[in-house]
Amino acid sequence: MVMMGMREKAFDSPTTWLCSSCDLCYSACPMEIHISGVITAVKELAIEAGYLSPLKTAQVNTKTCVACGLCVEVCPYEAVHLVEKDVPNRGKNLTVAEVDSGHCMACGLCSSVCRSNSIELKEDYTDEMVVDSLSSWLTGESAKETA
Amino acid sequence: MKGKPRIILFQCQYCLASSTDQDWVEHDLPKNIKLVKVPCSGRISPLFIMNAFQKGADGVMVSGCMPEKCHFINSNLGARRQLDEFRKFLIFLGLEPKRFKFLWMNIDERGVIQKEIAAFTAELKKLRPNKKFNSLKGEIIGQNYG
Repeated sequence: MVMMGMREKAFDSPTTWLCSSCDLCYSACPMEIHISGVITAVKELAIEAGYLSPLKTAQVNTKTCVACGLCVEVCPYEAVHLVEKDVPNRGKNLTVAEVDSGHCMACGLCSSVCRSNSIELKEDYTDEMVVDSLSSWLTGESAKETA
Repeated sequence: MKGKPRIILFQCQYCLASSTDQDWVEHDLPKNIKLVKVPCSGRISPLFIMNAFQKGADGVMVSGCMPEKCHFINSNLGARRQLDEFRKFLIFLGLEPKRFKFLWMNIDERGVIQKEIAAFTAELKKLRPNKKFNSLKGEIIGQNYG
């Protein structure tokens, strides 16, 4: 599609952004086409052209990040990097983690390994939401029923 | 144990390929089980499980995808690394490691989750109810992130 001059359509398509390269299609393809490789290439072009991912990607709280690098190690998409930057109210030229929102697929592995709770998915599935839903059930409804 | 054990079921949103299984988990779960959906089993921090036990859950079950079938390349392996270590840690809390179960669902199989939940419930019934952290109730330690 990109070659055929349909760039905008390819870059806007959800397939470009939602493919997580799990490669389940690759083993099923009779022509052995590496589909996710093609989609990843289109995605790179889209990022270069300035498009943004529609996913609710991870976000770093730079005020508490200690730059331990655990999230960098575990990220399956190599979307997290350590960078030096100025953090307001904390200091200048500090090393903190930064998420490349073009590559992040919002799986949440980084936030589960983070020991200082400094990296979280935007809006959906934050630590607070999961823990609140757990504890409201355990202390509320279920306590009455099983008592 | 008298009565039904209270179980928290963490489910990765891609691990149940058949829609009948997914419907059953979403709508027809027994009332003693709470479903918590997460994007990937890698999202499950040991702290969530710790928190569930602190609030009085009798068992925690995690269902994720098989290795190499993960929607997010290898996030489920990250989950296994963390949670298997955490299971060993449960002994130091004075809890039986049996109370925590990590399941790998195969996308080819159907109806496995129902059987596994029934087996897990039966196993938990043999144990005593989890009242380890009852004395902490209402204190700051049980309030948020444990």
